[in-house]
Amino acid sequence: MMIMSIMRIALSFLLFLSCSVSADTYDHLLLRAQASIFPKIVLLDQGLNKKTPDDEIVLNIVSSKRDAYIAQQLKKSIEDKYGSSLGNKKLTVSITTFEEFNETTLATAYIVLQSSESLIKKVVAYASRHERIVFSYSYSNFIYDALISLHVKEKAYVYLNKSAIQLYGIEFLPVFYKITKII
Amino acid sequence: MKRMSLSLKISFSFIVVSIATLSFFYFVFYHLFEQQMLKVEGEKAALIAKTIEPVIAINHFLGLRDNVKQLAEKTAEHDQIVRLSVEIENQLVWSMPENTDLDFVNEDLIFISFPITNPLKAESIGSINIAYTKDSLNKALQDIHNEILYYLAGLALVFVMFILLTRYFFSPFEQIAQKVKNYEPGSTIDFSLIRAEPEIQAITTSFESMVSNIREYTVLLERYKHSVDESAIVVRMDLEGTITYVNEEFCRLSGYSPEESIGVSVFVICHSEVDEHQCAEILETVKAKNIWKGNLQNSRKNGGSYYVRATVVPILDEYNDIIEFISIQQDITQVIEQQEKIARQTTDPTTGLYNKVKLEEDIQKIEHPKFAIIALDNYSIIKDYYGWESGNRILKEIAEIFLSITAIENISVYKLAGSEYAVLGTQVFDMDLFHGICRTILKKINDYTVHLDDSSLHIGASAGLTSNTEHYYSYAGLALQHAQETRHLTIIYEEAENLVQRFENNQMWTKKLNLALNEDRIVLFAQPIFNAKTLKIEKYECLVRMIDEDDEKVILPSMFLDVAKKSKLYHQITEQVIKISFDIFSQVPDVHFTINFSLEDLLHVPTIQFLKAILDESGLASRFILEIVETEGIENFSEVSDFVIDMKARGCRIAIDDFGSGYSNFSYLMGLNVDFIKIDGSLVKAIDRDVNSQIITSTILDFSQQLKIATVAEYVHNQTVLDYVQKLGVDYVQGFHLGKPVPIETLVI
Repeated sequence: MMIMSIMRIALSFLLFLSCSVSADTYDHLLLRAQASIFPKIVLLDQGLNKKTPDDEIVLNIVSSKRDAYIAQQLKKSIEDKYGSSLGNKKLTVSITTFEEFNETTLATAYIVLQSSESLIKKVVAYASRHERIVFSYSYSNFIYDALISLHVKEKAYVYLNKSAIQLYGIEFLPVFYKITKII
Repeated sequence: MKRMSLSLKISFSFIVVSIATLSFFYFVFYHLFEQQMLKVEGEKAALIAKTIEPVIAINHFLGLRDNVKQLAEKTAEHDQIVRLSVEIENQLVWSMPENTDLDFVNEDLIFISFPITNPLKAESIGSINIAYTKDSLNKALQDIHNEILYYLAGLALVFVMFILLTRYFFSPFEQIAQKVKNYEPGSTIDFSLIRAEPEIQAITTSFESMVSNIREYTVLLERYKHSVDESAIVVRMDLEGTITYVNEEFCRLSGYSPEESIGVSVFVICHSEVDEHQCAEILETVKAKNIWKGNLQNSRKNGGSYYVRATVVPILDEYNDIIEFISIQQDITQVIEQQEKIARQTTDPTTGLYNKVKLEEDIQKIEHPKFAIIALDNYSIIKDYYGWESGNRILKEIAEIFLSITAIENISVYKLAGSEYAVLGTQVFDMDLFHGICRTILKKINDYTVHLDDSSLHIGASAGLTSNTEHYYSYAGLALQHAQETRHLTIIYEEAENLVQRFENNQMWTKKLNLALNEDRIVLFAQPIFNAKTLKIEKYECLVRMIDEDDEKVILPSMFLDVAKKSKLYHQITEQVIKISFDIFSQVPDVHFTINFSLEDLLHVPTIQFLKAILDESGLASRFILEIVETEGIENFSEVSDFVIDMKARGCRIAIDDFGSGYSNFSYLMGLNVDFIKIDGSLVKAIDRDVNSQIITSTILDFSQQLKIATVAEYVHNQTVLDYVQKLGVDYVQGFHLGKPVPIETLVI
């Protein structure tokens, strides 16, 4: 119990930090980094093949309308980086708004930008139910059970939401865990 | 150089073996340890690479190059990593130091290249290259070295302790060795103060047993030495022949003290009488490690000498090298002197050949002897004419001829009486061969020429041979006599028929003689000797006769005396004559009587003792005249002269029979200081018609009268002869013309 309390305090602190970042302000450098790293993390999912019956990896960027431009830039960055294939699979990057998101838009993984708790939870709930990875622009969304985030300070850190791992039921290559900061 | 002690040897052996063993194990285990450590260090480096590889791979996969670099940088901070590089997809992602060439070779580094594998695919995408130092290994090895040094220091202490302990354990052996080293045979060794562990006690007990045995042997040797010293002469010498020890017996015999003998050459002080050849022979024999035995004549300090039977033994040491010589000698001076005396008794003094005594000894030792008597034919004449010295010279030179054949093995030669020699051959000769040898001798004698007074004379010889063992002398004599009579060079008794008859005749006469002696048929006749001027009977010559057993005829001595001499009955006859003569004339007063004595009688001690006894007993010495017959050959017997002196001292008078048949013995016979000379019958018998007989008789009478020796003329067989001898001035006459021999008993009646 004690540990849980401490963790919650830590998350609250992180959330506070993220709030200090403007809701509309995205770090382009971070976005480029995420565009580079998040697709590859998808490849580290050991259940990827059953999630890509057509050998197509679909990365769905979920953003608010306000962040459509950011979503477009992110998509562009991913496509610039990887083109139409990732590894030996086809890569498709799609954009969906939180409002438009429904349970018919099942992608291989989701990248959620900044939004409200409910919207984010909605995506997380759907994705986790289908064992799909949910990348978050900010690890502040981990309180909404987003799974993975990337943060760059003096170096690039991949954050993994420890409390959400069981929720998703996803197994990554073991080595992935060695480079992540599990929080 | 002093040899290392056994304790030190054991200690050093232990140390050497220990060091060798430890060194072996050190190098083996050091090598294995180094290999293992090297492997571990390599595995450590590999483990580092293996640890960071997946992180680097995933970071690279995710494009987190900074993370890769940071990780590499972090890894490079490891103390033992001196170089590290990460190479992915043929690009050097990171290296420390920068642009490091990891291909260089450095023996102090361990190089590891670990592949980087794509996280999604099992394919290598690069490598992690690490240069890992061996500092840890070297430090571990250095630590081991340090530890070993400590252990070695400890081990050195152990070694020192081991040496001290070993020396302590072995110290009793040194004490035993010191005691045994100073041991002298005969003494004892006290081992009681020596520490006595069971093993050492066993050794000391063994030594004590050995010492006890040595003491026993020493005592025994001392007793042997004492026995030898007491019974023999002992001289010890060094290798140069210098005396190092003499015993009391040596000092007693030689007269030298030990101080005078020791240090002097044995050939100087002992064997100065020994010739160089014999000295060399002794030295050569003993230096060849052989024993020399022989007789030596040693010198005494006083200049005399003594004889020894010496045994010179080289004493060898354990390596068979000569260390000294010991000479054990037995005094044989008496034996040698006896031998020389015997040799003189068995040697003819004139020729140096053995005499009849030796012949009789030798012939007894031969189973089937071959024997010969060789007599010179003309010796008597030459000797009589040229004198005694010339005769001796001839005998010596003829003896040389005999000696020349003694080179033939199994042949011996002897000188007998007069001019007779004998040759004796052993059974290896058959008679033909022996006969040949004798003929060779005779030929040499016949070829021999003697030069006397500008004249060259030949001396013939004859020989009588026999193979008879029992009667060798008489048979050979008979054969010789027969050869001389028949003028043969040689006669072999067994091959001459008439000689056998002669022998049988001798046998017969021997039997007769024996019987006659037993039956008192050896009788005496007495022939009167008249004063030539008054023709009165003044003396009688006692003549022996034998009465025949069959017809009681009187047998003259010429028939049996020779046989008597050969059959050893002769002396019985002589004693019978003496006994009867003295018995009869003790009853006939005022009449002198003569008894004939041959050379054999004079030299026969029992006969002479018998005569002396009867002279002393009867008191008739003043009327007794001893008439020496057969004067030929007695010249060189001093015993005759001594005997004459003895008889004259007893009051007897001496007559020489048959004087004048030779002239060479005149002076010698005159030297005997005789009282009567009986002129040889052959001169008297023909004196009335033979001028030579007259001259010789006249000459004899002249010097007899000058020497005041009375003369007797025998064989006066007629008046003419009587007149003639009376005219010449003979003192006494005897013969059939005046009175025949009559039985001596008739004088008493």
